[in-house]
Amino acid sequence: MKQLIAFSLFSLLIAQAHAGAIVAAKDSPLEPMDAEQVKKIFLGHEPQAAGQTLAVLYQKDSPVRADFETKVLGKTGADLSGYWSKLIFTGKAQAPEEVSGDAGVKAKISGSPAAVGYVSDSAVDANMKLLFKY
Amino acid sequence: MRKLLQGLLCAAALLPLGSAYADLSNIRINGFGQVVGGTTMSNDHAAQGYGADPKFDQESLYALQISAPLTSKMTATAQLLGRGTEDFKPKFAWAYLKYQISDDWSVKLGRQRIPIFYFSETLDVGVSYPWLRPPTAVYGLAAGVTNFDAITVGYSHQWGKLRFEPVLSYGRWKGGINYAGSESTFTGTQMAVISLTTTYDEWISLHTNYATWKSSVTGSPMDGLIAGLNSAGLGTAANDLAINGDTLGIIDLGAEINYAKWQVIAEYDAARSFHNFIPHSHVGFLTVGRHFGRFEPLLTYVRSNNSSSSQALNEIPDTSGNQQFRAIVGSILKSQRTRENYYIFDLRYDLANNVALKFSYTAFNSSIAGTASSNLLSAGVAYSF
Repeated sequence: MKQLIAFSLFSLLIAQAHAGAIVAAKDSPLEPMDAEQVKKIFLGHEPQAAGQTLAVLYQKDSPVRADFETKVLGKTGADLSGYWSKLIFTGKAQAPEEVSGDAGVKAKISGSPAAVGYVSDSAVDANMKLLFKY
Repeated sequence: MRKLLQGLLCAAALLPLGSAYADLSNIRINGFGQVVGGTTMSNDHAAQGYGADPKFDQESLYALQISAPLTSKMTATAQLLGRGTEDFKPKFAWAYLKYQISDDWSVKLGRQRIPIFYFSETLDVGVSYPWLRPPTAVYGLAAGVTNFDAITVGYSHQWGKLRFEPVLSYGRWKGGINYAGSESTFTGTQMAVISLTTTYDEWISLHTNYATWKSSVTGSPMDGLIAGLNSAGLGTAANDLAINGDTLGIIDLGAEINYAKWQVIAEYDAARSFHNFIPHSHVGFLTVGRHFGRFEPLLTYVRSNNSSSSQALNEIPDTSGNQQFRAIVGSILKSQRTRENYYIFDLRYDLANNVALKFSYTAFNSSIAGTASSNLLSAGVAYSF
């Protein structure tokens, strides 16, 4: 039983370590959103929200990115890259900007009300507006 | 490289307003390309410009795309494309302004890709499709008409997981195409396209498209024959062979499914040209692929049926003086009536997320005597950045 509890706690810790959040600047007009809207925004199908032309931020290759792609987008790696090349090279969407890690997202959204990105749960702070948790 | 830089500078010059007023950090530069080599392994037949000696210039290309937001709703985009067959000289494949009217509506004005088939708009972007090349029997139906100067109104709206994207375009184009085995000048007017793409939850996509335009072709080897018929007083037959403001229509139905590890793509096209000898075509293919980690083997079956009217021949009276004309016109018309089958095996390996190694083997047979069967082996690397 003890082992089971220990294992459950361990699983919980792992789950928490991989949890993430969609964030914008604290003063951004963007409102909390549901999973479908997050997917639309990060797959280039919602260029505007709350009257803003969105600046979508992807993290450069990182565990946070892999986790976000698997859990939220349902597309990863070469599949996602091919998907974006279709949008970019048909002019349907602008390529998302790639930034380095949670710190890159944090730096980019501050002072940019139309920027939206994903960070690991532990990186969410008082200067960010939480839009969605996964 | 110098040509490339010159091209880029020209592209930058197209965007002076953007540079002056827009945030430079928002300018996006993306690119794609591929290096492909192929051989027919025999001197008996040529296919896709390949012969027995391996060649690397037929399908190799590179492209750079610059996109600059001018205002929060307006973007200027230019795409420079250099092909191996044209000594990699960069040309503007795209140069357009896009205005995002609202969340759902947008307008594109300028030089852009003409959407005819499911993968038309990314035909040169090798990483965007699984094969080494989309089936040529379908994608060659428009004889190399790939771009137009047009206005395009697009709508995109998603209800839950279901997305509708109707598009309406109207424009014109003048450019080189390969016709009757030679580089000729194509002029397309009243080019109109209406299409609808429906996507459910990003795994199933259905595409319907109708494209129509008035074609004129000059500078082809057919010109001599047409002039000869005219001077012999056989003007009606000459008109049937000439492509001079004739209407062409192409209907396209396409479907793509990406489910679990499986990928299925099917496309069917019916093409019809009015008032000339260009054949009526019915072409379709089915592709089934499966992902094994970074590998994806795919099998494709393509079937093509082309029929051509005998009107041009019937308009040349069967007299002793006309026998040479009848023989030439008869053989041209006969060469248009074909039934072809293609069996294609492709293998894609994703070296990285944006780099794919591709291998393709095509076995082809045709009803035309002398081209009973031929094979094409090709391999390449496609990339994007």
